[in-house]
Amino acid sequence: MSAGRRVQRAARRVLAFPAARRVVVAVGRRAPRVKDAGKVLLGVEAGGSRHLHGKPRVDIRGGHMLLPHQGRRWPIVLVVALGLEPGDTEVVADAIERVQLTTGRFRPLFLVDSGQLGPFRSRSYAVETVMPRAMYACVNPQDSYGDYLADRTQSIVHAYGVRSVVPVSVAALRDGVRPDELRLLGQLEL
Amino acid sequence: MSPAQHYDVLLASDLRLPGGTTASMAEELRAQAAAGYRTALLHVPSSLANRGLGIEPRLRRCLDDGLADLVVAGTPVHATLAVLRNATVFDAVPANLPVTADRAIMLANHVRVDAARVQHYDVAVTDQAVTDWLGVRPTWYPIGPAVRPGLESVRDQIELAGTDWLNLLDVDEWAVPRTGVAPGAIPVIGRHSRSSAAKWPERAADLLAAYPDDGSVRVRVLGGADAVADVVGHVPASWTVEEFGARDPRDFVAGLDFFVYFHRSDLVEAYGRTIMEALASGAVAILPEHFRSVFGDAALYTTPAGVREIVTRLSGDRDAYLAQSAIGQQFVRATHGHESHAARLAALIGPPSDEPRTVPSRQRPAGRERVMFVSSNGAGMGHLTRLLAMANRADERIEPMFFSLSQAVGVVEQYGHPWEYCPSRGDLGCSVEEWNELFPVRFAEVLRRYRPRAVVFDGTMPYVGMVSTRAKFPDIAFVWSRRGMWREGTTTKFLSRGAIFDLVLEPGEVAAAADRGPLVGRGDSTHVGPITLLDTADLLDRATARAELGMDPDAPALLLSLGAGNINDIASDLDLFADAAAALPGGWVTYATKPPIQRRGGPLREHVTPLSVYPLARYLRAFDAAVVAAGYNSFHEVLMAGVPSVVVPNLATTTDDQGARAAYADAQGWAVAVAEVTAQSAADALRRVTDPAWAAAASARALEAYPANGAGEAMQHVERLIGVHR
Repeated sequence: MSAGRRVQRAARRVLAFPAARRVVVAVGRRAPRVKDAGKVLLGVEAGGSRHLHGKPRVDIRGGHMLLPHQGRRWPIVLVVALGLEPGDTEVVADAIERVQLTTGRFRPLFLVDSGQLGPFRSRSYAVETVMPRAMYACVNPQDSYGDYLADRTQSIVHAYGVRSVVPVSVAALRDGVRPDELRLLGQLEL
Repeated sequence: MSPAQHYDVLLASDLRLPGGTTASMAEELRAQAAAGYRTALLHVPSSLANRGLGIEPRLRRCLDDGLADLVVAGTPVHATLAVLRNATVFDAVPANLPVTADRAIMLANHVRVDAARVQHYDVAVTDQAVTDWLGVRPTWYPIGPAVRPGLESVRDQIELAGTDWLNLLDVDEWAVPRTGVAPGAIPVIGRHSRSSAAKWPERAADLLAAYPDDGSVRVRVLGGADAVADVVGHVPASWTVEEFGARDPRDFVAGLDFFVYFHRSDLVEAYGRTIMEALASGAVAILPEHFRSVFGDAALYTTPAGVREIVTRLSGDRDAYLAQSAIGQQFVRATHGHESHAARLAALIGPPSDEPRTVPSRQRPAGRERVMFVSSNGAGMGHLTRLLAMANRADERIEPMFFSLSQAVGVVEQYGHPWEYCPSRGDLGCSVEEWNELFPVRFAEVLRRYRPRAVVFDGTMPYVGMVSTRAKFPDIAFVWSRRGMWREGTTTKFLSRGAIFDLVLEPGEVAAAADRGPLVGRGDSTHVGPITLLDTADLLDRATARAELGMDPDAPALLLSLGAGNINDIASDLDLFADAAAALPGGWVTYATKPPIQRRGGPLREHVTPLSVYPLARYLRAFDAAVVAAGYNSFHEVLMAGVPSVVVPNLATTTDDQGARAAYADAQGWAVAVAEVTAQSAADALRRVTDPAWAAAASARALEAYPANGAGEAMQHVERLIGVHR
């Protein structure tokens, strides 16, 4: 066992005592440099690698209106549309394509609860899915749909380096949200 | 400020805390709702949780289900009874929490002073803080015998209840049928706890005695084992270790024969909720002697060195195992059931003010074994359709579910099968390396969430991420449905990945005699008949099919179905055949399909009617002739239906030898093969298949040669593998 490993082991054992942990946490809150040093000492992930400042881990294409290597640096926006009825995915894809065309500052990644993925495929947009609420209740009635949704979203955000999550409602897209308001979902720093 | 809302019970604590505190609150919330007690839930920030905000998931679900109301600043609350959990949280109550109560109880769910003489809370300070806040002095309740002595010694400073406030657990949500350790099987032992050093024995000898690394038992750990490496120097490679929260603890303990929990000698566990959960599931608990005061004869007690003897003895004595398992479950049911909570509340504050509520069940549906059908995307829908054919023929004790890379996966929904989707590399436009990192995470996520007994994969090659994930799920049987007819010279360097499968099935191929690919003669697979979604009996007759499609009942009809066109450009081929069809004598009507996964698609010729139905095979007999792709599904379906056909091989596929398949059918006189589509070849082929004499003979030959559907047989192999016998 290396010296560093032995130090980590000893430090972890000390921190197993609640009183010691409380003291260390309190000191860490007051002195960020001590906290950082402690993380190095313990070999604890500092959190930096989980946040790549918007750099995607899985680099998706930006859509059919872009040439193959265009838009690769644009931030990814997760557009979440749930409770979809047949035909709704076309409405969602159409609306977001218009926003992208008029702002040109982001790549959409869709999260839908529908099997009608054709409208995204035909536009070369990436899409992820979740089970519809009713189906999930049949499959895993013991679980919370809200937790499932949150877990899936968190996993997608992490996998793709998503910069922003935007829930949209099809009813609003049809006749509620003005185009100049909807365009705000693409207002991200490049 | 608005007037105070009245509740029967206010539950308050640091709602962010993981583990026993919030798990117990969630159980009480459910019991209260079921009894009709109106409940408010209050978050009291403390130094115990080092993250900002965010309520523990079990409590969040109670709020989502409407079982309680969350108290926020703008809504003052008055409760008949305030139940405050975890004394450490209340040593300094933030000002302006908008709550009043008629009476309060403080649940001490940790020892006041532990074995290392560390004091975790000062009862006088907490008692005063709560009194100042609520205006009433709390009555203190320990949550079990391990906590009571620490409060008895300071009872002059507090009002101490004479009974303990036992935690709740719904046994029915945890219980699984137990059959004991099967003869010859290796017993599975495991534990569920957070990975702090205090939760493990401090001596390597004790640790490895309780959790052996010698193959005599299988060791599973939920909650991480970093502390083990600190003690032993490494985490034994034979253990299966998952991080805390990696999966539902119910699934975890359901897979254990024995729950073995030994910790550092100076740790005093106030209760041990995870032990209670294991007992409720029916696992036999093996614990240090000091837990006897809590669990009595519900568990077995020994030293780390004595674990092996108990495991060996009970593994060899099924009756003794089942008797101990039953004692554990009965103990939890009798002492920690929801009914007991309603009774103690009634004794404190009287009957509930509301009607009993229906509390959503968290119980897992029992009785059916889940089989996860996993398909790659491919050029068309062949992989998905073969799996669907098997799923549709599953025994009623099987619950099929799909996880697919195909964007057409939604079609399985019309057969009642649930599905999850993972985008393929092609659909994302990312690199192979990126996708190879994405897939195993997603695959493992799906397996953890849905816990299938078996995975049936249909794809040309198992993915790298599938191989790495498989090792983490040793209990799940893996089956590979591996279509034959690979192109000659196809690389076989990835075939070694097939070692992860417990069974390799090879769907039959009517053109197998023409197979010159690398799978021929390998002898590593079980062969079944050709797999098609429908049986011959499922196909509609000509008149019915035409009526359902709205076709003319008499006019000769030609079907053009050349696949999705995702590898090759089918548009020009389609147009050439459409033009040739227009020139046919006799008033032929032409139809063309648009598959669900078609990426591109230009307009059809004016005289061609588009058709979008699934499954197409059901309607094939509506047509007098067809032009189809020579992929596995279309090819077998037209032969099965006896439709005189032109088969057009896609020569750009990676492995599927469509050229050989089409040529063989041509040689047998079942169909006409057109390898290169030109105006002339299209016209010649159509002339041939629309010749009544040739068509009748070809149809008869194809029907005579076609064997029975192998889908049901394939499914039975899967069922036998997981112990479901028809």
